[in-house]
Amino acid sequence: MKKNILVIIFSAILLTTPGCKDFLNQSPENILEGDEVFTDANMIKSVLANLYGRVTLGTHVADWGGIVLLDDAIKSDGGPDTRSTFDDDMWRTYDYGLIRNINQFLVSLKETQVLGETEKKELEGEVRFLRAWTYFYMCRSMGGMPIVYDEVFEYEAGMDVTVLQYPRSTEAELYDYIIEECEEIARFMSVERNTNSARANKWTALMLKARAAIYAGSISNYNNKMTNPIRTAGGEVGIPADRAQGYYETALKAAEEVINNGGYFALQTNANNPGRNFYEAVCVKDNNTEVIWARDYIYPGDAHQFTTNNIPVSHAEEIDRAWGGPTLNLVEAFEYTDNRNGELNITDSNGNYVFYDNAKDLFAGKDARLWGSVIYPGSEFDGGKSGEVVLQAGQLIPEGNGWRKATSDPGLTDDDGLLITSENDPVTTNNQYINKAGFFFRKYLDENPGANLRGQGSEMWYPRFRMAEAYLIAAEAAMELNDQAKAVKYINEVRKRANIQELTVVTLDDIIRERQVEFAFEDHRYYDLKRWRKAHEVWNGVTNDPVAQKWALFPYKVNAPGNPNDGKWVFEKQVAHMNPYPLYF
Amino acid sequence: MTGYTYGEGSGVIDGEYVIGTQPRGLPVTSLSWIKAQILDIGFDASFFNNRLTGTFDFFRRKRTGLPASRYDVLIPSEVGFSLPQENLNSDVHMGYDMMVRWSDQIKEVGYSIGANITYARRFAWEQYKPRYSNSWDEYRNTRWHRFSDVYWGYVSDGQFQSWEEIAGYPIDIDGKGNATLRPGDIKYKDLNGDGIIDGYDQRPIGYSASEDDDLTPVLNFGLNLAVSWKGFDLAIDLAGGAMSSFFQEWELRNPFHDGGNNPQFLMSDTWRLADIWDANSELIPGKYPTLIEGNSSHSNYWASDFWLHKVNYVKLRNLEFGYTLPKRWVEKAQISDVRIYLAGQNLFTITNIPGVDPEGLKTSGLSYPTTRVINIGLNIKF
Repeated sequence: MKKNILVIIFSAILLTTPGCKDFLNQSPENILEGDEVFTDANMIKSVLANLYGRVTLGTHVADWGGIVLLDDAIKSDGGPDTRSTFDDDMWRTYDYGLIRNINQFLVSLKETQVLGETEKKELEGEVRFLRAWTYFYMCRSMGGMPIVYDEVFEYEAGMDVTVLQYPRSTEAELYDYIIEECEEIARFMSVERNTNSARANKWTALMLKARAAIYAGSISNYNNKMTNPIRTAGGEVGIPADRAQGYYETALKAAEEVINNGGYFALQTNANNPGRNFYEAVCVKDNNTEVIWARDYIYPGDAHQFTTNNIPVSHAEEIDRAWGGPTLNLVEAFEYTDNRNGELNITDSNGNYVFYDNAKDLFAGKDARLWGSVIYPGSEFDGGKSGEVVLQAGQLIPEGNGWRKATSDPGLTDDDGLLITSENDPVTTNNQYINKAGFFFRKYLDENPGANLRGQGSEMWYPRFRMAEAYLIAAEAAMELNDQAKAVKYINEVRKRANIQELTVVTLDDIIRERQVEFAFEDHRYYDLKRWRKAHEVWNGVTNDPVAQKWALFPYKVNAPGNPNDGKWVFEKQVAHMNPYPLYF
Repeated sequence: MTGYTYGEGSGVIDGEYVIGTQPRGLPVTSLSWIKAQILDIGFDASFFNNRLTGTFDFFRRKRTGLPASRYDVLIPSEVGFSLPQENLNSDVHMGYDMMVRWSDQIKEVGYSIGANITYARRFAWEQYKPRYSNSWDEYRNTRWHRFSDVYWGYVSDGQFQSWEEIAGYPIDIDGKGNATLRPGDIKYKDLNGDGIIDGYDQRPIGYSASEDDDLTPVLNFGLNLAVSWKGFDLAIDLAGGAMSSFFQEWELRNPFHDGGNNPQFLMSDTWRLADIWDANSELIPGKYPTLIEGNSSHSNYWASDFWLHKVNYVKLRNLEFGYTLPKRWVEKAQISDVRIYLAGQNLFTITNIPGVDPEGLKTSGLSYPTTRVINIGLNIKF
């Protein structure tokens, strides 16, 4: 009886005590209302970070699968890629959810009280830049798209949905919108550099303006020079030819402003070691003046596995390695210091092998950017286990009047203790984790310790805008405007840095080639060839075509005791068995 | 008013990793609670002074207002959100549940026997304005007032016994004029009579067996036995299921799947040549078709009742055998109760599909079976 009374009294207290009712209600810890977010500067930064993370569009360093789809690199992992055509939606961006979130940010930003006016303006600039950037990616893959300006749409069940329908703009209108946005925000955005150039500033906006203008100019120019220009009836695709001049002038002006007034930003040069300098200009964050905007990575938090997966076999510390490598096509696109023909000298005029004392001698005198972009046989790499990268497909042994090749499983030696096929290969099997191109990526490969480990990953950034692009946009625009003096001036700055001869006249082919070697793997080539309407001529589907077919380079070491060529190297060019079909646009 | 979710996305800005916050999308104005109506008719009975007890329940639960979008309202993608959902669909769960138990004491032996059975099926009930392109589409794809969790596939009709049979066969099994077939390959029934085996010949052949579905058997039953005599007690629970399906695929069906191996029972009982290096040697029949490597789209591997099996099983779920020491032995030590016991779970399984745990979840057979546990224990009460 006593127990019952106690229970009754206790329950009565519990149920009637005021204020205790709410302890059973809990608000979720990670769902916030709009005014909770915009009354706290840290939360505003968090929303900004989310937007920056979502503009990682196109190919980028954390998606190495996309880098091997063009003619400058192949996948080495596993079996052949029989694909040869390009899907219509390759690297397509179509993200109005992001545009909506940006517009919502702009609305809330105007109303917030916790930031000063300059800060608000700078944030507004950054976010409008991200919006223009997203539109640019949509435009280059699809043409004119509905421009929603600052609109944040609302919906109620049963409403008339026709008010939500915005028509596609014309291609020219969308480029104009991007250019105008960038011009407007460049007036009030910060000119200071920020850590690792991860955030947008005035120079980023001007670079986007220049890039958008040069794209629009070349589409306007080259589309109309085709026998059957690509256009839709309403102008959503295709820009009238008379706009080309205006776009080129805009591009030139914007690029020149970055070059001349860019302050901290300048073309990074070092005449003492141009190859190393190029690698550092693109890949090393410390003391970097070249990169104007990059997608930054950091450990812990957001690091990627590009180095882990692409590091040479001899340097790997995890099971992952050698996922892909550059093609011979790219290596031969690089000029020599004094010879514009970049073809490697592997056979003489009679078709006999040319012998080299060291494997890397084949590449002597090449454009310094080759060293900075590609690990070729005999060069060194300082990441992972460090040291020389030996690429040896096999041995070349004399037989009768000619030679025969001996190959083996990777890393095996023969009875005399001489290496047959190096652990770095290249080979023509379907196995994983071995190289099949004869080259490894150097661009984006991180030398920092731990960058090649699964547990850590690489902090290698992905440069989106860099100074060299400003120079090449200026050179291209000047060339198209028939201002050879300027064109030559700008292109030669880039060429001087790369330790190759200067030009006296700039043609479109020069620009195409310069961009191919300067911006290898930087998400330019596919859209460059498209905007010049050259893609179908270059990737023509012809078997064994020097560009459309992908080629690999197989080094062999001579094993002929007593022969004067013993221990020297020869090279053979062969179709990359990983891509048996030529690219067909 | 827009809400934000903290912890979505991230960015590396100003040299720091910053966790992102993302707007949540349109506030919910068109979606409300799901409503459930439950009908339960049952009775409990006991007879013979509570020695025989039984219950029976019939239940039907209809849930209305399941979320779905009106597909006929089209909003353009530039608004940045997709059409909000409304309470539009419904489903029904229906079944019965029965339990019977007899417990008695004869002199010093107490015993009880109980049995229970549950049958429960789900129906996809009504959907928002269902639309079909033709009567076949309606038959094949409608979910209106239909059983949900049904497996559609081909109906198999034996296997080819000889090359002559393949050459003269009137129905195009593989869609290529039977050019890819060999003796031992599976024949399918041409249920619509058009001479070719394709999607129109698919019929419901079993219960859902995909790893993404709910694999609970439709029929679940159990048997509980308990006996006690003096200080000994024994309890046995058997649990079982029926009316479910197991789809044999991946490593259990595709030869050398994933570049790997297959179970012995698959590879040793296939149609094969007496001498694998001699194409003219005699073909030896077996249970499974010839091993074809790297061609998993071959007509043999289509979903049919050759590979889909009915599953019936009984498992000895619990067994406990214990002995309580007589009180007069332990009283002296101030202990009120001591009991030692031996208990086991999942001790054995009787099923019609050997080699795979019938309660396993993977169609490849690559899942851990339910664990067999054997315990010895001692309970002491003070």
